[in-house]
Amino acid sequence: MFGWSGCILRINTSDGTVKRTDVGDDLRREYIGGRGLATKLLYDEVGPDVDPKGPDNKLYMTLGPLTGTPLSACRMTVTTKTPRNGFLHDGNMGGFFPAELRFAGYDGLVLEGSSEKPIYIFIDDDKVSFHDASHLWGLSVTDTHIKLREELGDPSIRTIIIGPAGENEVNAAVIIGDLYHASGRGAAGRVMGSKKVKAIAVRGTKEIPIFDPDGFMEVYNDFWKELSPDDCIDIYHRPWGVAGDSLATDYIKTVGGLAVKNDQGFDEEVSSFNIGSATIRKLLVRPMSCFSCGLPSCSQLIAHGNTVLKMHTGSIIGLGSNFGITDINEIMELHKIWTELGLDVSVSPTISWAIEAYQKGLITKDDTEGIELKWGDSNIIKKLVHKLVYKEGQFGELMAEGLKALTEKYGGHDFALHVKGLDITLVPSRSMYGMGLAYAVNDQGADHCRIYPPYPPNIDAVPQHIELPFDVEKAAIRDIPDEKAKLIKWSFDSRAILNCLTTCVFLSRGKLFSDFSYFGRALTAATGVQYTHDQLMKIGEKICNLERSYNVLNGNASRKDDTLPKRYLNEPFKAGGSIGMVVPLDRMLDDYYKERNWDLASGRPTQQKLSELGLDFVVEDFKNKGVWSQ
Amino acid sequence: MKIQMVYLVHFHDLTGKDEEELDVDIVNVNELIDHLEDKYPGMGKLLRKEDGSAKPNNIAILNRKGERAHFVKDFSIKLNDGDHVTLI
Repeated sequence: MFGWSGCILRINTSDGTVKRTDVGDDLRREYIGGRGLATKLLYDEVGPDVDPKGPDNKLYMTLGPLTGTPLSACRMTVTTKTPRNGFLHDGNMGGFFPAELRFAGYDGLVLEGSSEKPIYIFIDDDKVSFHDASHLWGLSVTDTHIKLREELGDPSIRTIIIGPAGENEVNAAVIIGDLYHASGRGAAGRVMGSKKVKAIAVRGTKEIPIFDPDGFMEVYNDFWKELSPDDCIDIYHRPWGVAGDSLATDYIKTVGGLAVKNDQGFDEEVSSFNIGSATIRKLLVRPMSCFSCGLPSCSQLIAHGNTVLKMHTGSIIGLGSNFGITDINEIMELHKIWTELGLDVSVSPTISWAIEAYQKGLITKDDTEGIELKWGDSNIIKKLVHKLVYKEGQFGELMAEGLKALTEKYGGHDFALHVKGLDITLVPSRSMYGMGLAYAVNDQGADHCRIYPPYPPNIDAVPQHIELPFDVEKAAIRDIPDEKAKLIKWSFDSRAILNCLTTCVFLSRGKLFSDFSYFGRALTAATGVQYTHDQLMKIGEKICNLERSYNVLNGNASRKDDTLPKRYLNEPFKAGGSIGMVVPLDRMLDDYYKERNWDLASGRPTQQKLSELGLDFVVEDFKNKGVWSQ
Repeated sequence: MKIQMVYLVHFHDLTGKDEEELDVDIVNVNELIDHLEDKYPGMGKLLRKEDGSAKPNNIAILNRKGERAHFVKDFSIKLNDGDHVTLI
């Protein structure tokens, strides 16, 4: 076998058994790996009768046939049935753990069951061992990482770890890879915690078998040519390489979409928030990359006292402007706390909702156990996040469950910034209608990661032979609804392919943005199986339909779930670069369902579409469940 | 007129500044770029193609009070006193 390893490692944490299974040629070719493979396995194995909080839920970490090769194929998909609402959740983790797992000889691993006591797992090529983790339970991510390396006597092992947030089964708990790479904010950290798995360490020494090494090197060289910043579809490829994604803060602020104080749209506050790429560059220690990174960096390690932090724009906005905090040192301190607790930064809207609700009188000091909630005070934020992670009191319990639970008790739905129970990541939707639609229709909720950068592309760089299924110029205009549905469908389908491979999404910034034949050539050279641009786009569409179908069957998903916070639909910016903008969602939703050939009223795939994509098993399941007769 | 400039990344590296207020006697973006070229040689090449049109990968964003921010693709666009121009 070439490309793939042909082995999924299934670890039963209840009884400590390990199985090595093969998914078979058909499934492998059809779903490739990563997100596609995990979605199909989840669909087949974790059905409506499985309680996502219980031992029968599974946690999938899947790789692709390119993972571990030098094509920026550094990532893995983390998939589970989320305790938030029973929908599918998938995250995407970079760093070094995924490639190391591949070198150990696996296409992925599945955590099953639930251990009685805390454990960690060490995968050393073919050998898998279970270890007591009682002494690690409660430790921070960094302390756990250091102890694991000491105990296993190998300073080069790669790790994934949950912090106290995962241990305490908080919904916003993530899994942290190699200290800096988080994934699974849809409660994957919670699911790992429910299985009492504190960490997994891996050491791999095997090679990845390539079908056509010369052909692979040829396409490898073509990839880097296509990423030339002088002729790149992404207009900001060059500055991104220098400033990382902190640049996004500058861009978002410039177009008037910076989230301030629960994204209330105070323009005067936006004007005074001066943290961005210039701030980060002054603190820069060195660029931060993943395995076989194809760019100088997407993020940087910056100085924080006598240590370093990896900062993203999500932290700058989520832990800064959205809390009314304008001091970079305070933001860095919060970021450090968040990371060590294993908590996703995008839980920011839960906390900012609490402050706004307090100010509106929906909650009182009795609810917060004496804490007066106000903007701009990082000490208050620290107290709230402690309550959230350790589930202190009823308010802490509710915050740990998230915004849906909080608003069910206290009200305040209109300014609860979540979609499908998942907090908004604060990439603005009012300022960029395409992003608004993407948040609304994303099957796992408010996730910004399945859309390409929301600014005008360099159209001159789109290859002549490529006919994109949308008007590029109109699609790039941020304040009109036109062409957004086509853009988002195409973005979601094509992003699904990248998540199967599992290459870094930044690799698609060159002409590869539009032409997936390069990825087809790479796959063919690696595996010996023919893949074309059109075939890959079809596989991407199939995965998106399967994900939606999973949510229909497991969470009764329908059009009612494809929505946005009322704030983004009804509260226009009163000033600034996005003045007057609210998201015209209904029009774009209709357009999107039409593009997908989904039912307009329910937002569900039609029988015709499912059959066309070869998803006949879903057709049968829909018929048996009476989905189309509801 | 007064124009508030913001310089990011490569433009910061060229000017050595994060931002500055210009007090200039100009009409449009083209004249603004000419002014910046005099002050910071190399600025014109960063922003314009040889035919004078906007380079697609270094685009200015114009913010004007009471209007939505937009990318400046046409450098003949007129500027107003108090405009903000961000160069990314």
